[in-house]
Amino acid sequence: MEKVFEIRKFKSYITLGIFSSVIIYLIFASHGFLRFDNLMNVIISATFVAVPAMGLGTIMLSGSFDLSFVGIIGVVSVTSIRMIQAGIAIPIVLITSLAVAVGFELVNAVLIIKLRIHPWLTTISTMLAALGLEKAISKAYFLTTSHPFFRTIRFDSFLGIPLPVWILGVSFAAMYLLIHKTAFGMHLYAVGGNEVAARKAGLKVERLRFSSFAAMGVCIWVVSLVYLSQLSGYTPEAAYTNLNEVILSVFFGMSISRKNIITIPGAVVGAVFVALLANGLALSGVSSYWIKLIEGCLVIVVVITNAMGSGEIVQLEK
Amino acid sequence: MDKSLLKMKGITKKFPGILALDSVDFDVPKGEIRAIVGKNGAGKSTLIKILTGIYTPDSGDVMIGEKSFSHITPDVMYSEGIQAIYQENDLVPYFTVGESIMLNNEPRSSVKTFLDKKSMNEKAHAILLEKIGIDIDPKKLIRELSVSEKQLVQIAKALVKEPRIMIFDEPTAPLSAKEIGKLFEIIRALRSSGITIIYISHRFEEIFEIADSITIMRDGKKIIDLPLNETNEDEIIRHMTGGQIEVTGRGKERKTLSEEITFEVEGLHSERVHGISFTLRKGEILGLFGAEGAGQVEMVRAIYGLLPKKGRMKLGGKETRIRKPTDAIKKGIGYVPRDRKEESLVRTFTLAENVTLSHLEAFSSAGFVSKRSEQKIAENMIKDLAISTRSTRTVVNFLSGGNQQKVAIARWLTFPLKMLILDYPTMGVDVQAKVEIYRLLNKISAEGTSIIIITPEYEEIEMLCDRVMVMKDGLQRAILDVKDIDEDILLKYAIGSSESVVS
Repeated sequence: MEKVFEIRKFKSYITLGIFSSVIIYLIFASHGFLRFDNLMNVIISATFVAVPAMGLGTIMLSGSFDLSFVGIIGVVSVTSIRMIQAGIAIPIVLITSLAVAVGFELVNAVLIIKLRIHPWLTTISTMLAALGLEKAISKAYFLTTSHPFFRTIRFDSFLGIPLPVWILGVSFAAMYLLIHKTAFGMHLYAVGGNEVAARKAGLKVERLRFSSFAAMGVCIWVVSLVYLSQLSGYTPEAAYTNLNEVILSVFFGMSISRKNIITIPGAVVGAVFVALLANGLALSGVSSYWIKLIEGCLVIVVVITNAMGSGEIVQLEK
Repeated sequence: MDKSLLKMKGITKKFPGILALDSVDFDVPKGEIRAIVGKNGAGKSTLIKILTGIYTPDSGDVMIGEKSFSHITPDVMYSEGIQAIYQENDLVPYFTVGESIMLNNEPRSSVKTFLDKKSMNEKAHAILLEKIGIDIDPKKLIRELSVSEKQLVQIAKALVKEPRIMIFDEPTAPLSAKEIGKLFEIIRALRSSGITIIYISHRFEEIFEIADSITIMRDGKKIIDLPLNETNEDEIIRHMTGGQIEVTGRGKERKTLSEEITFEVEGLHSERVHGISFTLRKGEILGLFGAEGAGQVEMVRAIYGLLPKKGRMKLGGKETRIRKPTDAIKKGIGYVPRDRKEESLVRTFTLAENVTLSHLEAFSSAGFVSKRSEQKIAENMIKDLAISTRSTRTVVNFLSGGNQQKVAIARWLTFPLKMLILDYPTMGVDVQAKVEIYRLLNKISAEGTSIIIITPEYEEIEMLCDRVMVMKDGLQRAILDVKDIDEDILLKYAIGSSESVVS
């Protein structure tokens, strides 16, 4: 018991230590890594991962899972662009796309919570369905837009900081307060940690689990807008390539948390780390073909530290 | 009786093949501590599960105070103030003490949307100090607490909503003597504040110490409610067993046992097992009896190499070391766990594949399993054990419970076996299969295999066993010759207080 406890104590430092030393190495090995505009670019690319990671974290901490968001981002993006091309006003486009994002997630919620289908099975299917729908609408074409709304997000800044960075900041603040400072957030943790106990305490377990999916819907909507602005339109399956990074960020956040639980700051720190890593490796001249391999190995390190923290490895030895 | 706070009438619950509760009336007056006792299978645990909303009864109704309900649900428990404290706690391990106690009663900050963690911790701390009388830092995580601290946190959590009825289900099992004393003080204080308490335990010392009255269950019926100051252990045990006189001639036909000792255990210690020693003769059937959780399962698991242990074991006169199940199998020891579906059979395998699973080398050549010899042995087993199945290729999931159990036993009959350990071998099987399993075990033992059986049923001990070891709290209380005892004696050893056994 004592041994497990010791590892658990230092576990978050081990993960952070490994990743920090990689980053410090990259600072010295690459040119212009610490320049302000490079760091801003890193954070913008982290936004693509961090925002859905906060939503996924919310679903996971309440005891479920979601893979389908990458498909839903595509559907939301392509429908938004189509609507703009059809000349529909921006407020209506925004409201409709929010409804599409949340609606899709509520389909997941019904299948998982009401019909009790396994989350992986459910969301892999809805992911395929969403990717299919995306393709059917876009016919796999790139659809560009020069609508001022998206140009503003992409090129403007406020107080010297680019707008996408503000979007990440504001969504982080909102999600942080929601999950870590309200009773609602605490109840989500209770549902994920011990559903029976939550029920006995009089919590509305189903409603809580539904709202975790709705929260993911909102995150999907936000990140879709960032995708549309940064890519000047719709790119087929743009979010799909970030699926692994999103899941990794959530687990990374878990392994650096003191209680060994999924947290909102953890997920964002994870996303920023992944982005820093990719950026630093690229700047130091590592071929992009190698970057995924290195990321993968670091994931394994995270998973091992996590397992040590929860005592699984120690128990197996016995 | 009109002052009853909780009144259950005509509660009936059927499970396939069993009438678990037969029109049970149960009521408790306000501010009383009521104990519930009954043998395994008497319906005690079904009643508790109905009381705590886990099972829905088939018929009957419930009155709590002035309100009537068809049955108790988690919602009813919440709204009417019924709280249950279980042995296994239902707390979230990574919540703090404060969060756990105040869950769903969180104080809010001046901006109503946000939590006020400071006042949450203060309130939790106040409840712990004033109502429980213990000082635990509310910022501590649940997983950092000791078992008894966790239990006290659960009680504190239950008290936030000012409950009217509290159910304690075997609360003392994980506690030390001192902690039990503390818990009893708390329970008495709860009673004097007007809370009605239902206390489930199989320890008579505790029941006499803490409870005001006792409800005795037998065969799914409520037998009687007694005030504890007007009764004694002997009377309670008589009600539990029904005072049946042993039906002569029904017992086992006792054969003379060989003097050869197959297996010997000396000073065995493991999880929940403290200092067990016994010998097992060739072809002997030893019963293991005791209340649920008295250490029987842990003992056989330790022997079989599933739990770490200390102590010496001799097999066939030679010192032997068994560190993992494969060691045991190699030495000719078989184990049929209680949970057929989870631990014993591979549900998606066919009958034949399950039979050969532990001994595949015998049916293989050059690393490939010979399906033909597998089929042959399985066919023999079907014949010998009267397993009713369509073919050897039937997936075991589709067999009845009794036939599944026969397959689980058949696995150990494909090679020479010195000793077979079975845990509740007839649980959930029909009468016909039961008789066949008894016949099979008697046959195996006659052929020289020694057998250890964990069983909750006196009848099974009477029918099968030569001797019986009674365990209580991980200790070995006695090893008795089955022909010298009856059910009352057995129960006295298993649940009676220490004084009652001396006589």
